[in-house]
Amino acid sequence: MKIKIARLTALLLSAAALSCCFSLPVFAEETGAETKITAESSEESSSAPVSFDPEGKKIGVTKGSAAAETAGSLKASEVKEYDKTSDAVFSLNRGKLAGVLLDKHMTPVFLEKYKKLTVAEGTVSSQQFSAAVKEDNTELLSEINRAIGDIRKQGISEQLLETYLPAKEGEEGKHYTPVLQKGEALVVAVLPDNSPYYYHQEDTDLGLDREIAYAIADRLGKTVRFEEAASADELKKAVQSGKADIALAGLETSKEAKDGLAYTQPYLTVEQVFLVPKTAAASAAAAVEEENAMPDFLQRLYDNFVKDDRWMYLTKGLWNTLKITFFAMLIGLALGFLLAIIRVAYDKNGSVPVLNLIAKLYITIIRGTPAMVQLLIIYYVIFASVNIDKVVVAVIAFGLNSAAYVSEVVRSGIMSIDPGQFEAGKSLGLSFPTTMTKVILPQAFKNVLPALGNEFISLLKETSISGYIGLMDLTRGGDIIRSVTYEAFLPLIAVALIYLFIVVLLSAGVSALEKRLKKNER
Amino acid sequence: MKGKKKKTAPVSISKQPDTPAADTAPVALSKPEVPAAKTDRQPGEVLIRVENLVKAFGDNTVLNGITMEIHKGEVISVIGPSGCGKSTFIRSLNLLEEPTGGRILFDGEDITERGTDQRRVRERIGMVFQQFNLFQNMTVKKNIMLAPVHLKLMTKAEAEKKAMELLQRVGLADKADMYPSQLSGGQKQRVAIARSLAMNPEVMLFDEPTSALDPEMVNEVLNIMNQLAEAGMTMVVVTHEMGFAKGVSSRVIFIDGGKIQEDAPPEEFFANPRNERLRDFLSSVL
Repeated sequence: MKIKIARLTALLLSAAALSCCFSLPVFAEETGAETKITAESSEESSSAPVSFDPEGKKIGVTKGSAAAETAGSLKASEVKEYDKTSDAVFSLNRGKLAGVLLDKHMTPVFLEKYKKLTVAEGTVSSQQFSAAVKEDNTELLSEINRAIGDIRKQGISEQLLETYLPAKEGEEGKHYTPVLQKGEALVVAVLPDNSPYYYHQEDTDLGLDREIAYAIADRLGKTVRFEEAASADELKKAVQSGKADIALAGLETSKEAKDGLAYTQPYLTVEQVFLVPKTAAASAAAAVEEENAMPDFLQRLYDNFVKDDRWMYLTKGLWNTLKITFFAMLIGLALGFLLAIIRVAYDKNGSVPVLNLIAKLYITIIRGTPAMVQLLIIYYVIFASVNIDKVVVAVIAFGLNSAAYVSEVVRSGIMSIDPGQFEAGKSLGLSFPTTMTKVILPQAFKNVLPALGNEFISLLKETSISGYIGLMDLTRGGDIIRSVTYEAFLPLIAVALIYLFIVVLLSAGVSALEKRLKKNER
Repeated sequence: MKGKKKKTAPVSISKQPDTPAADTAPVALSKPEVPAAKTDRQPGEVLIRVENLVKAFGDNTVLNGITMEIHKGEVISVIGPSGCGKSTFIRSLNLLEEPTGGRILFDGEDITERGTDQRRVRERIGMVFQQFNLFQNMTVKKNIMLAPVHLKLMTKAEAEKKAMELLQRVGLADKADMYPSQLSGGQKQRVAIARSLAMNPEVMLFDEPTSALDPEMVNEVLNIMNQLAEAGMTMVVVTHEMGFAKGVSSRVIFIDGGKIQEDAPPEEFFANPRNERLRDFLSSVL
């Protein structure tokens, strides 16, 4: 305990020192209403201050963010919600939007990238961020409220905001050092790749929310386990379903939504500003500058894949995709053949009527619902309170899904075999299972191999929805690069090419096998 | 052996010194059927007794009360117009079709009774199909070995030896490692016969064994069947080959309208048909 306090004190002192030296904006404790801050962190160069009135204009926000809540009251002609802030800013830069409302401390990174943009004058509103727990979990709510009270009293969140607000380049911010007590885990639902709240950089785990989570857990005497959710909706679902204890991802306090969550007292106050294009003249100058600064192709390749070892996102993602596909394929084959045999046994001999009914029901349900819904149900409902590797969840989900399709393919293969083959087996005194395994299935398998290959190609591509349970597969790996480099083209094309390459390999494998099996008979 | 009923004087397939087809040379196609008249052989005890057999598919009654006995060593040809139920009849004998009425006694045991071990019965009854029905995914040799090995009647080595003996006997020893799709129709049917014989059956059922063959291949199959008959195998043959019926079988049965219309030794059957419909039938096929 002593050590902890000592550390916090040290942290506070350095925080105070920092804010003196660089006169960073002061973040108000209560409402933030009186703080009047213009777009000071951005406009150093040519541009004159730009004012922006959203009324009657088309603006963009990040889905589920605090800004999205504010945007509703702004009389904008249209509020377009994006999954990622970077996508919204990208559209703004393309001229598709008049402005993007976002948290102020997120602006520097975009200003650096898009020279045509600037921060509009004035703070639109000041938001208070809260953690959320399950509605009926009042005990945890009060515990966390107490912890947050302590954190605020010590100014930790303000310190962290400074750390994560890259106002001055080259300045190493101070981080909260978790005490990491032993104890049960506090499961914290977060949004990954959500700079500056929660993200990775060069193998380092960073993020304001991440450090707040450690601070809270330390005060609760718990350790932290992060549950990465794919979207703001998923985040809430994770807490509602009990997969996570609290959600910590820039959720707004004042919200009175009936979403089954209870919000804690705010741990952070953040202002929202508009990111807008510069004035025409400044914009033109910036366009030239941007043109000149437009990195050449090699540079872009370097930025997207080499820098900070970003290719690792693709290889790690690919590895997961391959693992999921392979094991799902095995489950699909085993269960699919079993289902097919049950159904054929019923069709041919009238045996196992109950199993046949179950098999039919299973196939109907699986084929009648989207794979994504099945994946979400398995993750959020069936394994709701189990801490299980997401890859395993995906393998189970895709395996069960694939089995239904495989079984229909195999069944059609079995039915296409001459009934005389069954009769010959019968007439020799062979049992149905023996005839099946020794005579029918080898022939049926060969006949349906092309169709099975097709099914597995679909399966491979279908696994790209794994990102919805926060699993980093190939697609998601590309997404992460995209959210770091703010470039769509190269990461997406790279991902597409990798899928294509694997599919081509898979097809080649299937036709090689086909040929080998054919040779056995002809 | 797991308590399997001891075969009563199984047909000794390997002892065939005087058979012309015993060497590997294919059966001479040019040779006309030389049926050694078998009518003089003595029928043994009753092997199969069919009592008032009825088989209906829904409203369509195909067999309408068939009663007959099959004695050991008999070679019975079953003829009749198409759709008369002769195939259904022979398929009922090894329960590929389950009778809807009547009963079948095999070696004194009612095999139509519920709870009968159908597989055990089928082990003792060989069947040869019109379409051969060789297992497409296995070599000729494996086709023959599968059932004896799998049902643990023989070891793998024994089954292989037996398979080679049988292939030798049907003149196809050199095709042992080929796949069925590489054989002609006649060759396939000879392999199918060998496959059935590998189980040492007590009776062989032939369901139009030559109907799917090109004319020049018919004789090679009939010759094998002749040899079997000579060796004393009990056989029931659904056929359109009047030559075989006349020359090889010991009894000929005419089925029409789901009933046995005539049942007589071949000489009498062909020379002196009593049934009017049989007379019509014979005049149209001969």
